[in-house]
Amino acid sequence: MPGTFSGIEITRRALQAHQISLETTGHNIANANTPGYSRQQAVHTASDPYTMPVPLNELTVGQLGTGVEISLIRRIRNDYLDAQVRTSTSAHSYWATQEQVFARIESVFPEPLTQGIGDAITKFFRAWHDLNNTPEDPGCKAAVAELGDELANLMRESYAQLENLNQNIVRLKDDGSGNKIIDGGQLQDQVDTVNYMLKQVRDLTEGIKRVYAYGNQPNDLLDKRDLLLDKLAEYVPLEVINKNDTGDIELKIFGHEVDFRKKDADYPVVTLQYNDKGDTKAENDVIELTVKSITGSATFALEDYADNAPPRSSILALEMARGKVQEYQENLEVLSKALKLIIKEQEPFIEGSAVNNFFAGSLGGANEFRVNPKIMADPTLIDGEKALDVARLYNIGMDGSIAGVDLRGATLSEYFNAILSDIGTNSSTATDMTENQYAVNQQIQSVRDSAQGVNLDEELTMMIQYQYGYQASARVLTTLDELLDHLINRTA
Amino acid sequence: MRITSGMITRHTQNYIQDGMQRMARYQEMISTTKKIIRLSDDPTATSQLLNVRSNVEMNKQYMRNIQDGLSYLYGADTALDTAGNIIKKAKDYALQAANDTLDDDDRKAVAEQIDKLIDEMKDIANTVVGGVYIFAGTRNSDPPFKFERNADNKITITYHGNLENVSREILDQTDYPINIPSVSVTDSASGLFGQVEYDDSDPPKGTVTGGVFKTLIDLRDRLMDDDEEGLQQSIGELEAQHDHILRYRVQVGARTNHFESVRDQLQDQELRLTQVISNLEDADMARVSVDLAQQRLVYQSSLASASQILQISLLHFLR
Repeated sequence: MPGTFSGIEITRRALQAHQISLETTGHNIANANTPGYSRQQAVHTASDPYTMPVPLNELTVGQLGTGVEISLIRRIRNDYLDAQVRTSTSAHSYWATQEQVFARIESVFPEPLTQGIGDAITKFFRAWHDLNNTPEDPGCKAAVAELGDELANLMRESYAQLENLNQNIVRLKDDGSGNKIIDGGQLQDQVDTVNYMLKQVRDLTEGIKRVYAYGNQPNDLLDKRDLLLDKLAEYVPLEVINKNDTGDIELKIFGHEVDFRKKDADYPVVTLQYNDKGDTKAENDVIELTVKSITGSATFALEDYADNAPPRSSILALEMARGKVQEYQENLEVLSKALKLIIKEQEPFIEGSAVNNFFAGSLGGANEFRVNPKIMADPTLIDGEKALDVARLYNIGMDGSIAGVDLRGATLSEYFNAILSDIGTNSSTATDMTENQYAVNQQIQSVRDSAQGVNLDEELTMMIQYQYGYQASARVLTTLDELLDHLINRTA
Repeated sequence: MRITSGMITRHTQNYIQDGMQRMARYQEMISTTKKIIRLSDDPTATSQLLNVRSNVEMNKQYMRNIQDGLSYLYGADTALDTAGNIIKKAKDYALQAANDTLDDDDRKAVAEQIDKLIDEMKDIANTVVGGVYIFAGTRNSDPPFKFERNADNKITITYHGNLENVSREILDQTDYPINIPSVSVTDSASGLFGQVEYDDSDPPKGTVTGGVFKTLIDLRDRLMDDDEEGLQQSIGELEAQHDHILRYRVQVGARTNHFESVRDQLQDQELRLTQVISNLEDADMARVSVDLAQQRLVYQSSLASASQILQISLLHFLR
């Protein structure tokens, strides 16, 4: 036989359970627009029933309910969807970063809307034709020099802008003893961000583990950590293994389990190095990334990793784009050298003028690429009799037979147009892929949102439900109160 | 699938962004009238476009070379015509002077006329077209033929040009000489105005012998000397010179025809290539305008639907 006041206890529990549920609903509504928030649910469970000590009593049933209790505030979240979202975030970020860099590369070249280096090459060789028509005309000679100067200027400018882009991604400086070290740039910034985020993950994990130790579930801290890991996936390929009993996680970056639990003094755990491989050729240099992992530390060249299978992330995209920028710089350099050598080979200089080169210097070299200052000062040093030999170079596919210049059979214009074409193709691929990956990412996020997101109408419905539950429980309490009033005050 | 408020908001944002991007693209096409604005807009078409453009530019240059060559050829034709007329006139004079009725003084008077014709022929030899002396080879900024008359009216002619051909590149790797060899080296008779013993000095210089000048000078001298027999010989020589000049005129005519037909061909080609460029890069304005109108409708609808959906909530129905 239960006690006199057990009914009051049941209503007290019911009121409390409904109040907690209402508060949870309120928390959900309050966080409806919080990024990374997963909705919570107060799980109602009937509390342990009161069992009669005398089993064969015919007056009462065997068990009596004792009301409701909140067994758990559940966080609605799916680890597998998280992993999928992160993979797709990495991929999207990889292409979006490339899209950005290529848009900037594209803006270095004014084609196809307006005239650029390609047109300057044509104009330059047209001037040689004009000179061939009037071989002695000083005006035509001056035009040849001027247009050559314009061409060299345009090429120099484009080269410098590409160099600027290159430096924006990885800025190098001399460490004082002749070695180059990384001194900032987007790539370094991103690595710094990764380290900063890892520290935050470490701090959050400490807190989470402490709450777990007391047998509770730190829903909001878990949300924060998951959001942080989502962001981290933009920068680095990420793999997360949740340890649901302790609240701890294993974190793999670039396939290496990173030791993110270190003290501040042991950070950064992810570092960038410039490895110039001991020779002077810029194209042989590599940017290396080191991850301090549980088993030691792993170092690898970013460009090698970029060839790997997906997921790839923005750090890899920056390295890829940097490689491309350098390639375009080299292409321009090849073009400038070709121009210089093939014109020199035709010897279009007045005999005895001590001038033997139309162009001087080189792109990226110590001396800037330009028209020989002697010719600029006195264009009549150009020998008009040789103008046709130079003018004809425009249409000749360079296969190494002229001055050893090999553009794989392309003419100068074709070679330059091929550079533009490559930029266009890469840029358009990056744009398309960004669009695709964005769609995929949105799709997966929607699936995840569908499970964990807050629907206001739903919450409001629940609110009404809990409100009625609360009201009804209060009503039961009033009724019980009346009963007891009769029992205590009116029975004399 | 369960839909959440956040999803609706995010989808709405995406649709609006997509719609705006598309409209911006159409607007860009309309205001530039081009469908290829950046290298990435259509990489394959862009590379074709750039190559065709440089083709057209070079074609323009070849056309300019041809036009320039033609003015040279037209100039040469006129000069040869005049030269032919001079020879004809000289021959007329010679025939007239060969008549027995003319006496010594009359013939001297005719010789005066021939002397004027020699000067005229000199001017022809120093014809200028567009600032260059067309009978001077490639050393053509100074008059190529210089005359010196000494006291007894002997004429020495020197040549100051060179023996190089002037040619024009009318197609890729294809150049044609457009000049007439005004003088030739001594053992050949192909020079228009005679032969020259050419020395390699700078500036080059050589005394002109033979040719049309010698014929005229001989005629003049024979008239002066009242040499009737010589006159008959001169008439024969004049005829030969006339044929000689005519031969060159035919050559010039043939070259002119050749150049004109290549020019026509290039003009035709330019027209077609310009068409190709237009097809590659020009936006179809009518179509883009329709596309834009359609896109605007879609955009407006998506805004309208968004504003309606986002306003609805259970909240509005709760008291």
